[in-house]
Amino acid sequence: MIYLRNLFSIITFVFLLFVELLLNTIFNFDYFLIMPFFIGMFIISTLRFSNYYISIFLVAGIYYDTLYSSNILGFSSAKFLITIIFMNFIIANQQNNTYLDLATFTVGIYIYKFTYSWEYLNPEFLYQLLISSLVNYFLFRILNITIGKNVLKQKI
Amino acid sequence: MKDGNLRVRNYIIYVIFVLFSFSIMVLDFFSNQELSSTISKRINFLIPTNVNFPDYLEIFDNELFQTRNNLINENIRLKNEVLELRKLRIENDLLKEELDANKNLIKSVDSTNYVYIKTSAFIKNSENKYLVSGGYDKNFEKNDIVINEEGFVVGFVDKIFQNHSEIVFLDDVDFSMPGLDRFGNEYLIQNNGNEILVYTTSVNELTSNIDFIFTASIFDQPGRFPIVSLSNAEITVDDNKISSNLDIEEISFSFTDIYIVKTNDLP
Repeated sequence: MIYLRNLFSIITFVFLLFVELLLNTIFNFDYFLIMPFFIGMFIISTLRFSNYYISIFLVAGIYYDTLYSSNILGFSSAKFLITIIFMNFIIANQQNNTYLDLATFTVGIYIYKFTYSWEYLNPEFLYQLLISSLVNYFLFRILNITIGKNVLKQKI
Repeated sequence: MKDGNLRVRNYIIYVIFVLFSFSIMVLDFFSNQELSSTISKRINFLIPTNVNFPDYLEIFDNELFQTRNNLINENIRLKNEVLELRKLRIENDLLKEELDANKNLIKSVDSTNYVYIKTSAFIKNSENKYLVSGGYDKNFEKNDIVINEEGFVVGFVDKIFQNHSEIVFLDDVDFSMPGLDRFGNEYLIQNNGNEILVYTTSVNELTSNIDFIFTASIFDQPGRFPIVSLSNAEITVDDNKISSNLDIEEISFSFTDIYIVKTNDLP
């Protein structure tokens, strides 16, 4: 059962990663990117941080490096894990604060989108990431509110 | 206190796996990416790669609803037939366009020496590189050139997977390709993110009367495919250097009608 649950989580996150690539290919927005996979990562690192997710992000990273990119194998896995550790470390050691959440989210996106090419230092790309962080943080808040509301527990 | 200890223990395990990822990276790097290539060669892509961009947007195709026709009546059948005919008409127009494009391509280069494999971009990765259909299964090789329907070089193959490949297009920041003009001057065409730089690496004849920069067999490329046109560009001729800058925004091409050029090995 544990293995099945693990496999299901891996498939879910791999699918999220694929959806992220697909959405950004179809819509191809100039000013921002939609990042459902990163939002999932932020939720994991801030609300459900545990060892259980290591294998999931390790496999998701290897999947990405093997099938979608010319990166060195293991680069994305390391990047995903570092991003999760970083975001959890900041959030866990501070008081609950929206501005800090947003700042952590933004820096997390910059780590998440890091590539070893000159394009990473392109001001237009950095600006696009900044806008993306605002848009995706907004999406995260909406999702968080929706998940947080348990309809069954509501008093009529 | 207990939570703090648990978190520290989690961090330690995370760091161990980060180091594990780094060790895979080192292994892959020093094996000249042999490890990732082996996996790429053996694993098929998880979605069909022969899909065009516009197909994604046709999710709500009327075919989805045809199974509902248990209450078949004449009107719905006729409606479906009309829709089918419209689709056929669109398909016919697309085929006509493709035929014209192929005719243009045949006119612009000598087609007997080369094989043109039609491909199209179907997804963009996180590094803003497009993946196109066709890979090891279609015998693509690294640095194979990619041309558009007019015969102009628009990119080259960077990494090959089992049935798809990563392409570096002319508008990508790390695009860099050597070329030759009709006077025998050798050039390097580079994209620096803001504009396309064209400058000589070896000069044979100093002149500003340059129209096209071509691919050449001396660079292990299929010969005489135009890369850029300098006919309307400002060309600077210095002491021993010819250079020009082109605006990236002037370059536009379709990601769906592109061809990979392979040398025809058949007698």
